[in-house]
Amino acid sequence: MPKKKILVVDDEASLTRMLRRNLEATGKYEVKEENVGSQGYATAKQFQPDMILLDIMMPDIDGGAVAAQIQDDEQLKQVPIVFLTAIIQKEEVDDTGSNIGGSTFLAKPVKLGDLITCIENKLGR
Amino acid sequence: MKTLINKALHRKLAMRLAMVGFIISIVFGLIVLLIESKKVGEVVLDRALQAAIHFNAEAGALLDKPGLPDHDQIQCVLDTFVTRGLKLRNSHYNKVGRSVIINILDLNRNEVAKYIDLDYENINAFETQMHTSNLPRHHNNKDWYELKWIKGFPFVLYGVPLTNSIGKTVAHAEGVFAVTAESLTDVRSSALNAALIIIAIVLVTTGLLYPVIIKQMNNLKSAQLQLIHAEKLESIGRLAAGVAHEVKNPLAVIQLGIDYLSQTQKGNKDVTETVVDMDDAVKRADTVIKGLLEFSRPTKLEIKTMNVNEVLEESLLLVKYELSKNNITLDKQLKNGLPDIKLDRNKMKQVFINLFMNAIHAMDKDGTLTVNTCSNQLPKDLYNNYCKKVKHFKVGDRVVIVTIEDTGIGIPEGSIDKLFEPFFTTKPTGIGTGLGLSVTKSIIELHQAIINIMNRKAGGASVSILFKTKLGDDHA
Ligand SMILES: Nc1ncnc2c1ncn2[C@@H]1O[C@H](COP(=O)(O)OP(=O)(O)OP(=O)(O)O)[C@@H](O)[C@H]1O
Ligand SMILES: [Mg+2]
Repeated sequence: MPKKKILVVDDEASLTRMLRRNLEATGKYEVKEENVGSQGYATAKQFQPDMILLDIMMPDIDGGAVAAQIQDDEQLKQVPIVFLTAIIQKEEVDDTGSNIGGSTFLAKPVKLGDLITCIENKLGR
Repeated sequence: MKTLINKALHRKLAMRLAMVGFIISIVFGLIVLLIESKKVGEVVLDRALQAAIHFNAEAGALLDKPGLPDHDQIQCVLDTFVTRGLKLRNSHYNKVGRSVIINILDLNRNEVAKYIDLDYENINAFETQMHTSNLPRHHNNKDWYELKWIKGFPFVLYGVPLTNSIGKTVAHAEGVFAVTAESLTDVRSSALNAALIIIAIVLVTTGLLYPVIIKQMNNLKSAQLQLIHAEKLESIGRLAAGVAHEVKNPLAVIQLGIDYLSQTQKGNKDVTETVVDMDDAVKRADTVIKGLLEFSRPTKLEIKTMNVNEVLEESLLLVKYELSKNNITLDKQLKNGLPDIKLDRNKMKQVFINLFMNAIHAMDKDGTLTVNTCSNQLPKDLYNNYCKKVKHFKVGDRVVIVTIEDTGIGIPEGSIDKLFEPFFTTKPTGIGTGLGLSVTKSIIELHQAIINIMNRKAGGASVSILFKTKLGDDHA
């Protein structure tokens, strides 16, 4: 089975690195990191991911704005986006992702198991 | 915040006004006292003079014979008069002076008779000092009088012409009335009475103003405290949100690092143990941050109308294990037919669990947890003690009261004021973060309710929460 491509956009390099390492260790995913929020859309266009993990609070651009750019793109608008956020509580979202107003949210710090479950749900397994 | 400042300013103003009123009442009282005492003096002296004139008019009327009265005749007249005068003692003559010295002079101002009736020692002293022959005679045939204070006693010196029944002046009488000790007491006591009345007025005014002043002072103090508290909380809130965000990212990295290690180093027992400890630490850090955020964020409530007993039952279910583990007896006194109130079920559950856990921690083993609900008309003492600061509570409002009591160690002396402060805890790290009660309080305030904690006389702590059954439109 071909590896699924996941794009991780977060200004915190150590976090994206950690996500990549973890996801790639499963052998199922190919991960690309992007640490500049405003580059998120361009990178997505170029990388053509199957799914995007997107930080909400980034210094140069709001995660929501990046998501809007992506959803405006014919090619990319079907790509599921999961927001990673430090400002909502685990109690307010499900451990494996909650749908709030059409978007899925995961609260930081997220546990690997929960993250993978969420990804698999999104990718339709 | 702004309204708090306004309140504080208004209170300051009100207090100043009260002070000004207080000072005015004292000054006014003193002025009245001065005027009154002067008036009393005047009244007494006026009475003395009236008595003197009356006395002599009576005497004159007895001299109803043509020609100059001789000495014997006048002596006779005086004797008759004095006998009569004695009868008059209960009239105003008596009020003024029993001690009398009278000289009767003929038309050439020769002394023809003398009458002395002295009762008092001090009057004797007066007599030696001021013999009737020394009386001023400058007023001749006209009415005259003069006032003299001798040894603290007022004396009225006077002269009047004595006329017979056809209006002819037949002789002169000159004399001295001493205001008697009796009437002096009268003078003094009426002056004293006036003074006492004024003092009473001042005292009553002060008494009336005192609670107002004290209340204003307390209000001012509590407004200031509230201000400081609000400011503190506001900055803590801002700080908390920022800190939470900054801390959560590194926590996320650590968490994923831990997960990575636990996945890739599965066989290594030491690594597994280390990883479990680290995992636990991250969880703890996350809990603190979570509490902070909860405390700092103005959350909207999901309000539904319900019976608070239901929420209590649900919350008790969740601590059932903790209760039985610690061998704690549950004394449930939930009143039937409680009026419904507007609650956010989950938030209130969080509140009750917080309070139950606090009670359980305070009791250790073998205690009793009492949960009581009741509905009342807000009594005055409760209002005075707890509700005054919360403006929408009034005496007589229907309230639902939840009381949670334990038989534990009680609140440590001196920390009652700190309980609701974030991070105030007496528990070891890992057991208490000190956020429980501050979160509880903000939830209670969102419900426009009141929470109060105190120590029970019998030991242990008692927490009561007051909900109004009918809330205004401004409810969150
Ligand atoms: N029922 C009680 N009896 C005695 N002391 C109490 C009681 N409830 C609270 N306290 C005191 O108030 C402190 C603060 O309570 P609070 O619930 O805010 O924090 P905590 O229980 O220490 O930690 P947590 O954040 O886990 O709730 C406690 O540490 C304890 O000293
Ligand atoms: Mg607590």
